[in-house]
Amino acid sequence: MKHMRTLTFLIIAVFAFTSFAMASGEGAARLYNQGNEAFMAGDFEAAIDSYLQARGQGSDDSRLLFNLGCAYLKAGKLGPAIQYFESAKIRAPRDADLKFNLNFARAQMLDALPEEDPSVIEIIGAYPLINFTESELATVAGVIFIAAFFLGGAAWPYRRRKRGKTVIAVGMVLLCLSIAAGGYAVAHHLEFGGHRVVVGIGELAVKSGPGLDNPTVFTVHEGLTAKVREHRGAWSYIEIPTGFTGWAPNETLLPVG
Amino acid sequence: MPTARRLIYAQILAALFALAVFACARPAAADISVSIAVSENLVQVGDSIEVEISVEGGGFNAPDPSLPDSPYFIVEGQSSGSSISIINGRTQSTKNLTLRMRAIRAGKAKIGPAEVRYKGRVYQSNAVEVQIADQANVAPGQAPQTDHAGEDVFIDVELTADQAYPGQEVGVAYFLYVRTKLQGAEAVAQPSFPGSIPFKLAGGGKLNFIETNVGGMDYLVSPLQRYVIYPIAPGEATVDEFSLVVRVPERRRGSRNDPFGAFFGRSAQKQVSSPVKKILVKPLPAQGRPPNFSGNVGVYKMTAAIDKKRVETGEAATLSITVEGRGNSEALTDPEFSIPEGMKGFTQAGRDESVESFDYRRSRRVFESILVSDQAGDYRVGPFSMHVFNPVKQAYETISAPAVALSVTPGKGGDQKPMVLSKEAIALAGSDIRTIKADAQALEANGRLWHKHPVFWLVIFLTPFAFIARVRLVRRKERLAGDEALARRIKAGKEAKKRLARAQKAADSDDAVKFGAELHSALMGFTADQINVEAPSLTAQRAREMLAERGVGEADLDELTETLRICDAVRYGGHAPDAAAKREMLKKAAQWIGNVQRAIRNGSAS
Repeated sequence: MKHMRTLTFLIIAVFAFTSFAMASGEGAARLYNQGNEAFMAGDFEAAIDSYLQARGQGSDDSRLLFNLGCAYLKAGKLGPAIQYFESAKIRAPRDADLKFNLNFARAQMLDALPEEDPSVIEIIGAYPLINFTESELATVAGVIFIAAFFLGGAAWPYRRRKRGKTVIAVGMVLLCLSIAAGGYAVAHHLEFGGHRVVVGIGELAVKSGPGLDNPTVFTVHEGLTAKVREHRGAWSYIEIPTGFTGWAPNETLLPVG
Repeated sequence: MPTARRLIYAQILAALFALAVFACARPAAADISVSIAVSENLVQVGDSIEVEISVEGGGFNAPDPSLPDSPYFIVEGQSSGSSISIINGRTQSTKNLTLRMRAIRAGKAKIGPAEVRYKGRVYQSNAVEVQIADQANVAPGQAPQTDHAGEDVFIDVELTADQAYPGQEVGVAYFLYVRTKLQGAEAVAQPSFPGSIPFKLAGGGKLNFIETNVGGMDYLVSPLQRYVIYPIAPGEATVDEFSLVVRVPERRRGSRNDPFGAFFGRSAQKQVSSPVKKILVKPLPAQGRPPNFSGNVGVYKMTAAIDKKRVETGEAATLSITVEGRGNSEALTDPEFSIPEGMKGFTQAGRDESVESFDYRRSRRVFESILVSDQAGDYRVGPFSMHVFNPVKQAYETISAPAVALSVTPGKGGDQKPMVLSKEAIALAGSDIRTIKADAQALEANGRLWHKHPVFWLVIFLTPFAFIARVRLVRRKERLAGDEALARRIKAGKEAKKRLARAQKAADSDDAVKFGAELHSALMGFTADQINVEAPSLTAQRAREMLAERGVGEADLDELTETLRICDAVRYGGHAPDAAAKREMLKKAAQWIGNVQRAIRNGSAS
């Protein structure tokens, strides 16, 4: 009887949670669809407004971020457009439309990004980082990790037999693969997870210290992506793709994530 | 001809040749001139000025000018540009170096002369003087209003110039000064700029205080908002007030220096506004005004580029003329240039690409023309020029960019291929982004990611432990499978408990004989398991001896003998213990089993 009550409570709780989550997801979708309607009518400011409201409902769906980037780009706001395209790319790195639009937006930047021909090793090494999300890499790492130990545990009683040895060897290979995938997930987090910003104003004079009185060390323009190395009050210590570093006011930077 | 006379003629010719070379070389060298101009002659410590050094002449190899270090300024940044034009066969070149310098100490600073070394000679520019005022001793309109000194909160406005020409850039910065605990601030009136075209600079909205001193009093000061404005017409331009409603601790009379007032007192709202300031807008000078001057004002440079060097007949190339610098680029008129015969040009509306930083605006306007030709040939488009009034030099000048080359080759249809592209068609030929994603029934919620779920990490964490447990279990099973005595000894306690439970059940059902038999079986079975012998063949005496060999104490052995004796009496002698006695026997038996287990374990260990 007691178990029945617990079971009933759990079923009701799961049902209520699922209903709530679906309701909020549907609310965000309604605003998202409204934004699409405004976008197709050419009212990009209204589209941005609706998409931001959908964001406010707690959605970070890659389609929403993509459309938000499109609306900002159409409205002539390059910085937020690249911010949202970059944020969408974290969640949907293999989306061809997203790659195209991000490149399109970057082509409008005043700052030229450094172009280097990567080696084959660099291309192969960077492939998982560019084409998979942090969540995908971490989930794959976790599943392979569990599978490796499961195989090892299952084959352990037969470890002295040939088949048992083979299964344990497969388990060890899987364990190595899971460590590699986990390493990629960590690298992905360090590279793309919450440390990147986009320059949000037309031109930003980056200072040698956290204050306007410090000399300008270099100047960057709207849309450039930078990594934040440190925060100090209202200022952030940023590094741009050329490796230059300096301080910029937080209000001039748009976070990617 | 005698040899001596021939020698004299040769010497005269050589001298004439040398003279000619010298005469030709001197004017070329003398063509270089260096000048220096500053954006302002009166600044205060902390202000920035622009210093423009111009080198005219020298052609493509015009050297870079150098400026001696000044103890009054630090260089914040620099930019350079050059232009070369050929007018009536005469080459004119200008090289500009613009330095952005910040005043760091008060005094009368001398900037320059700038130097240029060219073909072994040194050319010097003029020098300019700049008066740098200390913050506490500055000219009106250039410093914090000392009228406010003593007030807890006030707003001041700083202008980069109080006189300007129409179209000249004037920087406006509003600052909030506080010397009390600021509990809140809200803008109630954004400033307007009657008589000017304003551009709001980036940033603002967040207060970022630094310490300063006004009239001998310590304040915290934060920029509120910065603008650049461009006066429209001669006369007067107004910089209106910026108003804030601030919430500050309410001071009671006599508690001015009470530090606890801010904590325990009530807060009060008050409105603070910046002073209204006027800018005198002077008319542009008539002297030197070009006849076709169209009103462009600013410090600009011009560049021109074409997206393709070679096209086929009927194929379009895009010509871009970029004018950038300081000034209201949105008001710039189209640059002047000519399109060669046989080529058509479709000029599009200028596109403004100005960018606003948090403390300046970089103006940039791009004029694009689509060029199409239906006749093959090598064309030169340009040169390009524009008349502007330079407010820094206070003079009219012509900025220019050299002509660009475009080679047109015959297309598949030959030279006379009809020009089919209309202006509209060319305008539509641009690219665009891929369209938005379609409508959705539901969107994913924030952070719904597998790898961020605690269950995921719990499972990952527990997996190695589960594996270790599995390995230990397998090993234990393997050990027990190979050692029957050990297996029996390990299981002995559990088996004994089962037997005692049966004895308890018999006791509860008041079956004395069965109780005695079960209790006897529990003790003898436990002993047989411990010493790995068959229970039926084990007598009480042998059990005692073997347990003694394994280190069981005499008291426990006596206890066993006594309990077995009572069990036999119950089973065969008709002795019927009462319920309390049975409970006591069961308790003692359980205790005995524990004692023997410990004794044997300790004996094995030692």
